[in-house]
Amino acid sequence: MADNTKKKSSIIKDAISLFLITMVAGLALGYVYEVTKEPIAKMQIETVNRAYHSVFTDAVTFTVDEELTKVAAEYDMVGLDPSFNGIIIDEVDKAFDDSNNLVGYVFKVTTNQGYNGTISLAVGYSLDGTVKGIEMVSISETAGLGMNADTPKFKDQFSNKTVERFETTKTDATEEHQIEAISGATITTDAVVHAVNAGVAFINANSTEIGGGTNE
Amino acid sequence: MNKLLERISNGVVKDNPTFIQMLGMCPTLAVTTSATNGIGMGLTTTAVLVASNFLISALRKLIPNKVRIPSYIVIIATFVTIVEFLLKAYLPSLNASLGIYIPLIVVNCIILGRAESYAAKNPVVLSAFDGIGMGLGFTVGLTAIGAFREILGAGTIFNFKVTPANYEPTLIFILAPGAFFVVAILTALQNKLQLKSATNGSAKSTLSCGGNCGSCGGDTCTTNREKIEASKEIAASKATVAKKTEAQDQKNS
Amino acid sequence: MKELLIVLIAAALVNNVVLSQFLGLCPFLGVSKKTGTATGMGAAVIFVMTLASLITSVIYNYILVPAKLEYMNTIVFILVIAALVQFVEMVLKKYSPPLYNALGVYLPLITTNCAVLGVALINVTKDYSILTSVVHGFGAAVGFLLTIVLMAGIRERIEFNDVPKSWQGYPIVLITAGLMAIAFFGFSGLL
Repeated sequence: MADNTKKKSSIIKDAISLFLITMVAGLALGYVYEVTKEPIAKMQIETVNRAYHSVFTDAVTFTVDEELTKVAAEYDMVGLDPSFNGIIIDEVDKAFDDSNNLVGYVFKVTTNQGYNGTISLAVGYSLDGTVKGIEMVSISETAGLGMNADTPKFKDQFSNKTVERFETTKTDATEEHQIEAISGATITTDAVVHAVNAGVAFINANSTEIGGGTNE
Repeated sequence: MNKLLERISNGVVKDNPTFIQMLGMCPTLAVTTSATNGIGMGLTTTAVLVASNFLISALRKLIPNKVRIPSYIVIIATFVTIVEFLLKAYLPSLNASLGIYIPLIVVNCIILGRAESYAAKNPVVLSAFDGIGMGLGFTVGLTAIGAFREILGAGTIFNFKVTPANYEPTLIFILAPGAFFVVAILTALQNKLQLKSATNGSAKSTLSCGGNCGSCGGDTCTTNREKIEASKEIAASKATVAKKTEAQDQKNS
Repeated sequence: MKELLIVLIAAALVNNVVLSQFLGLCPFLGVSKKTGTATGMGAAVIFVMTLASLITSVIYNYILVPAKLEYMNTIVFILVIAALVQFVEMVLKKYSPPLYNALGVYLPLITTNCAVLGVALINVTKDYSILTSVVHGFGAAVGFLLTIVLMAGIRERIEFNDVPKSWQGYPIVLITAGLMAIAFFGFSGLL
């Protein structure tokens, strides 16, 4: 009997100490979370901003296009094209040059078609329908393979091209709309190409500035 | 002072977790696609290891014996999450390239293994230095394997081109199968040269937990092994008894 | 329906947990000596991983997200998985002794199996719904069963081969795993 109560009290003691450790751990985590929340958010905004500036060098200021961003949030991308499955346009910004004229759009698009999960990239798109450039915002593909999507050699293939739809090719790109696949990483190439296409198609279909909206 | 240095050399050379103890095989194979990833993963693990060793050693007299494993896991998971926040805030690209392998540090055998076999029995400062040593040893291992795979598979090291222009990189080495091949070659070399290693030749090694269960998860692992052995070899009870006493000895020591 | 099927096939074959994500290597290398034990281990993983995917994604979506505690997922998941394994072991022991005899010994090994935690975390990072999470967990576990049984089958044969001395044991198993990983690349054409 005495043994029994002793056992019980030790179980309670064990449970209490485990509970205390878990509680302190939880509180500590909550504290660190609060402290790092701001730097994390700041870092994300900065990364996106830097990407915006590098994809649209002619533009100086960017302001969020609330209307298009809102439309994008509920837009049925697959309705535009089946290959846009799993692609979301997170944010559309208007790009202005130094004399405050609207020169085009930049947008951030996220695709889950990547080999290791999601890839987010920023795309600059001018009013005359030219892709100004692309930049990776977050990418976690295989180093040495898919990660090569984040090299100028790959990204520059998109710059200053006025095409409606890019296409992946496994041989040397001969035509304007062809993008040379990264060797050994066709899935990543396709994911990026589809994401750019999806963004371009969305802007063309919805922006009143470029003309898609008025055609509806 | 000497004792502290001894802990570090022990971790880096004598009991190197990658080359000698063969622990933490999941990250060793998964993130060593480049030297940069290897060093990033190694240092992240080191940070968690030092912090958890320090705290577990400080609390070693307060944590009841029966609930020590869950307590350790809670402490380790907390530090892993904290490190994850810091990476997100200050090194987002590393965080993105290591992905879910950062939270998976929680189940890395090395950390629980060091907590159980060292930090739970030794004073605070020594435990922290043990963490530094083991962590650096792990970093060296991952970086070396990462560099090897990167040179063969991409022709670069830390993203600098090092191979002659006419060398066509052997892609397979940075793909998943390459990881298995590289570690296979490594262990074969150890066997050939008769180096001290957890996987070295001995037929009785059951390979669980990357080769050596006894030094990995403390008695959770040992009992697991006991159970499996017992179920497999009820008939050959003699062997089982021998193993059990061996495991018991390990537990007691 | 079609999407669930794609998730299932992708998890089982294309993004195989062991051969392409390197999760659950310990049991894969440690318990693959005999096809019998490998099958037992695989079955136990299917059981636990499916259940763990269900429970962790329910907890994530109905407790952590409303309470804005998403950042606690690692610590919560590992505790839930550890508790779940213990619980399953107790329930099986009490209500289904035959099943317990078949799977029981493998259950404790699964707590330290990073594949279960890994799959739970992937469910969250990929924003899977509860149903998709369960399908993904089940698929990943089927992939695990498939690879560990295949591996055990191969290892039983390797026993009779004349492997060079320094390649015996661990090295030849890793080479085999590498060759299997190459073979599994073929599945990426499925999607």
